[in-house]
Parts: sequence; C-alpha cells; structure tokens
Amino acid sequence: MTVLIVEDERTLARELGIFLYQQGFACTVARTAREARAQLADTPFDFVLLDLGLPDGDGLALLAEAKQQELAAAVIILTARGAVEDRISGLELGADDYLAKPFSLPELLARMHAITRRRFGLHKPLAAVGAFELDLQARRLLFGGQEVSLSVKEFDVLSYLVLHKNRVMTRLQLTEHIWGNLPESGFDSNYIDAHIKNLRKKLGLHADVDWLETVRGIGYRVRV
Amino acid sequence: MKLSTKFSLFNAVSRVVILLVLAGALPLAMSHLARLATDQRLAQKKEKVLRLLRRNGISAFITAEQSSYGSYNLLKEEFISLEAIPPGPGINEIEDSKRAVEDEIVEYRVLSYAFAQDGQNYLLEIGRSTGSIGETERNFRHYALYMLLVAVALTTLADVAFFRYLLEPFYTIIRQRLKNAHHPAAFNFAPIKTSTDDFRYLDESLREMMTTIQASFTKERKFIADASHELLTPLAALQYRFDNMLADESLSDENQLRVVDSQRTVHRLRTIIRSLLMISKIENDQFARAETVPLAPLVAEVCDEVQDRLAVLGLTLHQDLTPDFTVLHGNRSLLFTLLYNLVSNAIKYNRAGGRIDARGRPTPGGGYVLEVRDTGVGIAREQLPRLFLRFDKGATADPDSYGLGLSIARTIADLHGISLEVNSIEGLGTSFLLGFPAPAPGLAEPL
Repeated sequence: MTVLIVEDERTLARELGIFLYQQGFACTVARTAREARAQLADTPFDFVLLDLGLPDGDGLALLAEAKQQELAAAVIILTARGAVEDRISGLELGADDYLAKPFSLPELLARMHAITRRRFGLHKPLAAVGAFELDLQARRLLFGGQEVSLSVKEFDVLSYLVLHKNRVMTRLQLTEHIWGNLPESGFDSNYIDAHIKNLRKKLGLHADVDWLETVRGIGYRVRV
Repeated sequence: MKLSTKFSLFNAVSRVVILLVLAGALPLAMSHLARLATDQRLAQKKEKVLRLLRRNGISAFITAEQSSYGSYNLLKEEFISLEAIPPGPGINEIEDSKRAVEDEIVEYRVLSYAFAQDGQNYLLEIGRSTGSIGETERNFRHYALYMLLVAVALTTLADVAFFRYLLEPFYTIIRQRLKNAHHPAAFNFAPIKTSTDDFRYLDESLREMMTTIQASFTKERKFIADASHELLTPLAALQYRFDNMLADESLSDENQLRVVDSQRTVHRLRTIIRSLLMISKIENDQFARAETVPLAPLVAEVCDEVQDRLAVLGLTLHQDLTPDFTVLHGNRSLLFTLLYNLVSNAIKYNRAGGRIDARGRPTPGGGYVLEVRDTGVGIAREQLPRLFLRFDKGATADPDSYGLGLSIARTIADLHGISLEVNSIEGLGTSFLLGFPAPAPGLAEPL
C-alpha cells in the first residue's frame, strides 16, 4: 500500500516513514502543501497522513481541495493543534480519522488497519492466533467455531496484540489504545496486567495460550 | 441604593421639609392675610357707607325718633351700626371686640369710625364675625396644604421618571460592558447611545479598556496554539523514535527497558502539556457551550468507560439520577471529562471491594446536586484546601498521578457555573458535590 506523509517536521516524517516501511507500506514524504499537491496529482495513494500546520498553507484547505478533485485515498489527519474545531472540520471535509500528536505508531497502524478493513474491504475475515480465530469485523473470538466470551476491553487488548503480532507492545501502548487520550487517563499498568490475566484464564479453559507472552518489565507479545 | 433613588429620595425629603416648614408657618401667615383681607374689606365697606350717607343723608338711616341705626345679616356674620355721639376725639380704628347679639356673644372684627355730618358727630361701626374669618382662613389653609401635597407628589414622580430616563445609558453601559461581558471574545463594542457627555466618556473609557483586554486574550490564544504545536511536535518525534526502537528486534533487553522508561517520561510530559493546555483553553473560552446535555446518559457513559477498572478492583458503582437534570448551554465533552475525572478519582483512591455512588437530586431553587461518593481512603483535613490546586498530589503515592485531574475538574465546573465541593473523612471515604445552577428563566434551549 502507498502512503503520502504530508509533514513539514523532518524528524517526524523520517520516523513515520521508517515505521511504515517496516510495516510494508511504500512511503513518500511531502514537506509543504505545494509538494503534496504535486504528489497527489501525480500518484494515486492509498493513504494520506496529513499534518495541518504546513508552512505554506493550512492542511484543511489542502484536504478540501483534494476532496473536490475526488481524492480516493484514505486521509488521517495528524496534528498537534488538537482543537476540537479542527477535528470536526477535518472529519466534515472527508478525513477518515484524526490523531492528535503525539500518538504511538502502533496506534496509527491500528487505525490504518481499521480504515483498510472499513474502506477497502482488504481484510481477512478471521485472523488465526494459536487454536483460536479472531474475527475483527464482528469483534468476536472463536474456538472451534464457538464464541469465547470476552469483555470489550479484553477483546481490544487481544486484537491489538494480534495486529502487532511478534512485536512487544508496552503496557503504555496498550493503555493508550484502550483508554485513548482522556486527560489523567488513569493509566495504571495493573489494569493491563489484570486484562491479560483474565484473557489467559478464559482462553486457557479451551486451549494452550503460551503464544501470549509476557516480556518482563516491558509488556506483552503475541508470538505467532 | 441606586443613584436615581438617592436623588429622588433627597428631593422628596427636601420637599417634605419645605412642606412641614410651610405647614408650620402657614397658619400664622394665613391668619395675618385673612385679617388684612378683612380689614381691607371693612375699609371698603366704610367708604361705601359714607358715600351712601353723603348721597342719601343720615335721615335714610336714622330718623328723628331714633338715635342710632343697626343692621346685621341673618347668620350674624356681619353688622353695621350708626349712632349719634357727642363730640370727642377722632376715632378711626379696627379691633377685635365681643358684641351681644340676640342673647349671643359674638366676636367681631370691628371697624370704628367717627365722623361729623350736618353739625352732628356720628360713630360708624362695621363688623365682621371672626368665626367667618377663621373659616375662610381654614379653607385657605386646607387648599394650600392639598396643593402643596399634590405638588410634592407630582414633582417627586417627575424626578423619578426623569432620573430613570437620565440614567438609562448608565445602566446600559453596566449591562452591556460589564455584566454581560462574559469573555473578551464576546465583547460588544457598539457605542451606547447617550446625549450625556459623562456617560459617553465612561463608555469610551470602558471600550478602550475592553480593547486592551481583548488584545491580551488574543495574544494568549495565539500563545496556547503555538505552545501546543511547539511543545508537542518534538515530543511526537521522541515518541515515534522510541516506538521504532522498540520494534527493532536486535535491541538488547537492557536497552529495551531504558526505552520503555523513556517512553513513560514522554507520556508523562505529553499528558501534563495536554492537561495544562486544556485548562488554558477552557479559561480562555475556546470551548463552545452550545449543547443540551442530560446528565443521566452522561454518567452512564462514564460508568461504562470505567467498567473494566471497576471489575479489576472489585468495585461496585451505583447510579441514581432520578429525576434527571439537563444542562442547557454546556459542552458535552468537557462535562464528560469533569465526571470522568471525579469517578476516576473515586476508583483510584477506593479500597478493593469498595463502592462508588453517583446520585443526583433536585434542589429547591430549581438547580441540581450530583454527588460522587466513594468508600475509599479519604483525604486528610489539611489537604482539602489544596485539593484543586495544579500539581498538588497530596499524599498519593501513585506514580501515575500528575495532580491535574481535579484542577481540570474545577476549571470545567467554573466554566459552566457549577459549584464543586468536597467532603471527606479520612479512612471512611470522600464525597464530591457538583451544584448545577437552575436554568435562567426564559433561557431558550439551544437549537
């Protein structure tokens, strides 16, 4: 999949590019609105990651212009401005999602996958994990075709780990994914530990869950 | 007391004083005037009688068989007498004297005048009863008093109306410039119409002051936007770098731990910056309050959000918001944050297996009180006054607490005019009380 990163901060654009490249995306960087216009006119991208604070113009204006020209790419707005009005305007102009900087890169990937499933229909309906199958669309965990009862948060933790399989997810990354950016979000690693404990208990009733690993001092990983 | 009331009161009191002085002096003046008027009338009558005597002669009144003539009217209010007298000193005087008239003593004001005609001296007496003079005087006095009272009432009413009209621009200035100016962003700079120079000067001075205030608020807004971007952008770069480092499988376990620790520091910084920016934005009125927000669904949503945390700690949360209360002109997302922070606190400082209650009840004045009560560790008495201060973490040992949650709650409550009180007993629990004001009468629901 192709991604256009519209970001004037060199370091940010580079780190985003490295991460997405490792995830199998082909990335192009535009540092100004003008560069972005030229790239969009030239290449059909699947994703546009759009920073609003561009040196030569407002990202929202660029978005409006691109949507007028029937831009097919999915657009995720990335901004440090964080004003509610910006979020609303962006979504009204046709952006698919909005992330306030700084966000974690795995969170960005999760949003991109959600958009891919929603917009492009490019998803495997079921992801195999050990003896279980995860239906991300219907938000269900299946064992031998039977649903295993999970709470909303337990499913969120598990699907996030499965999405980033074979990668260590820190407790902080998991917390941010589950509780988002609520101020004083009550971040407490104990909650994640409790959810993992419950998951192991519930899944362990059906089959072995040694694929759900604890990485001491750091977090958890689904080893597939 | 209002200026117009003071003016009107002063005028009314001064008029009453004048009235009292006049009422005191009036009888004397009236009696003197009545006497003067009577004397003048008697003198006129004397001249008239003398003209008649000269024209018709004495014989028209006093015949040969009589030595005197006397006449009085039916009610004995006036008399006239004429009698022959021996020669003597001239008499021409007016005085009060009592006369017997048909077995009745009547007091008269009597004009006595001696004159000579046809070689004979006569005494002419014309009298007017002082009773009738007194009555005239009384009538005179009553009418004067009524007229004065009416004059005082009318002029007082005129004063009140005039002062009200005169001070209307002053009250408009107070209303428009000071009372209804909730925030610099919503200042109204339209000049107040007035023909009074003093009010125009006051209005101009206030508008100048408002312009200065608005400019400084605009600067602050720009600073918030800049700070937001300039502080969060480098943090984002750090965060992405740490995320990428963690994805690197060749990273040693030791370095992985270091990265995770750095990631926590970045998260901490980010949360602090976001919280401070949020407080600044709220204080700078950058959040619209145009929503109608029923509280019960909002509390239910907050409870739903914390279900997993409740389950982990074995806490129970009870909601009872019957009847419900609707906040007109609120910001739903901010009100959610306010309630979320209070419930989050009730979870954080509760005991395992404890209880949280979110109860609402209407107040007699049409307002509403929403209580969030927990059975937790409570707050030390000396800590209570500092509870809503920024970065004041009190006695908490929680490394993930930044001491900003309650500060944000207070700021949001202030923005919506909600009172926020806390009661706590150490070892028993804490209760936060949100006092929602009654909707202002005639306040329309937002469209």
